[in-house]
Amino acid sequence: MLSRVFATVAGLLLVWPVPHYFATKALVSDPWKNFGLAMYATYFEVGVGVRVRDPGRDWRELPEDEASNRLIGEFVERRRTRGKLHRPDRLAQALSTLTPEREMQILVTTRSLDGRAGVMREIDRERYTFLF
Amino acid sequence: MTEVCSTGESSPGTSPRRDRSEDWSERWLHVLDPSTSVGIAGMRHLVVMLCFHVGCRHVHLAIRMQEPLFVLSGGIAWAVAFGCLVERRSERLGRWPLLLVVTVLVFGYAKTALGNHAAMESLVLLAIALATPITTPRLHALAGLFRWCCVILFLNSGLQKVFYGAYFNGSFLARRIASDHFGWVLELGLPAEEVLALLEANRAGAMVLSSVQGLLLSNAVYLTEIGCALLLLIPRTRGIGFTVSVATVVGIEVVAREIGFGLMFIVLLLLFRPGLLERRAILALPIAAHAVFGVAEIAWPGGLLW
Repeated sequence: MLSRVFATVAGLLLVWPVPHYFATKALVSDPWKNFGLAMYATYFEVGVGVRVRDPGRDWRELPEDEASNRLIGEFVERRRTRGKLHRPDRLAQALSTLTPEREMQILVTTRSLDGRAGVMREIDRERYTFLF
Repeated sequence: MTEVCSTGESSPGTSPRRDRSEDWSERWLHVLDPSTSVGIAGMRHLVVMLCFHVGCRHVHLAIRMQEPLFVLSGGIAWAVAFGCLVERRSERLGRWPLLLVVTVLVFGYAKTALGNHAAMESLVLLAIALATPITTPRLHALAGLFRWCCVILFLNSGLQKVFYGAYFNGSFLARRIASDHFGWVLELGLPAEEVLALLEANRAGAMVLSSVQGLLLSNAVYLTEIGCALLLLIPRTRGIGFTVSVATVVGIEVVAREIGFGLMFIVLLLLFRPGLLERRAILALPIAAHAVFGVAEIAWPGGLLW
């Protein structure tokens, strides 16, 4: 019984890169994550922009400080692993305590290396709007 | 009657016995068997080395991430290593790693430190725990799984580089020119003009390697990884495959400096040379390695990745 479990695990690990490749494309997650063994295979960057305003007024960029950078950094790390499954709802909630404005937009852009062309390309852009 | 690995320790160095009644899973796991089998003493040494290594890595994480809880998990790992060393009843060896894998998972997930490295650690420790009580057939199944892990690590790492296509034209390495980990290797291996061009290049545009040396270097990376997997897969080349694989891991980690992953990988590769693993002196390997890297970390803070 144990040998069957082990053999199955070995077989699954052997073929895992194929579904991993397609899953990372679909979820827009970092190929370095989720045990696909794609470390050093490509580049993957997640950028987060936050802007706030009171309704009816102009947008302004949320100023960077230690607290917001830490929160954004934690979000980016989880976004790398879970891809688009990881929404910035908690990030927005946490950032809302740092600013008096009631409306917030979080823009998440993802870039990856186009290996054949040798350029970084934007592969995903999502804008989330929150009202507090 | 089931044979139990107890104080007598199953005899190492014997050829693995092939039973005609082996089912598909046992045949699959035995595909990578070397000419001699690993005994319970060798497996004990492997488990002790792995647990000691996990402890060192967690203590390092505690310092690097300023996270005191990792000191606790590191201490647990060292305690587990000691427990495995002194456990008299070898068939109960696996109960100690079970404690450790729970610790690794809990702390790892809690602190988002569960990368590929920690996932591999957890898999290995969990497999050992599942194999308890360890009998001779289970011992061989465990060794077979770990050997497959070595082949899979090489093969899949190489194949992923092929899938993403960033090594055919050196586009991945080109962007690493300014990295302190990779930069010095590229400066050694590439023509000076190309190095200069890359350093001055606009990173928003295309960056590829154009020299023969650069393209050879870039393509050699995944070809070597896949080559190591094939050498280990083919029985005739398994012996040389072990040597080439260890050299490859050392070479990769000299550049990438992911010391923890490299050490763990080399410990698992020792299963292709059971004779080495059976000797108690092998326990000095992780101790000496971590001592050296500890000194290097003090002299060169932040220079190593764990």
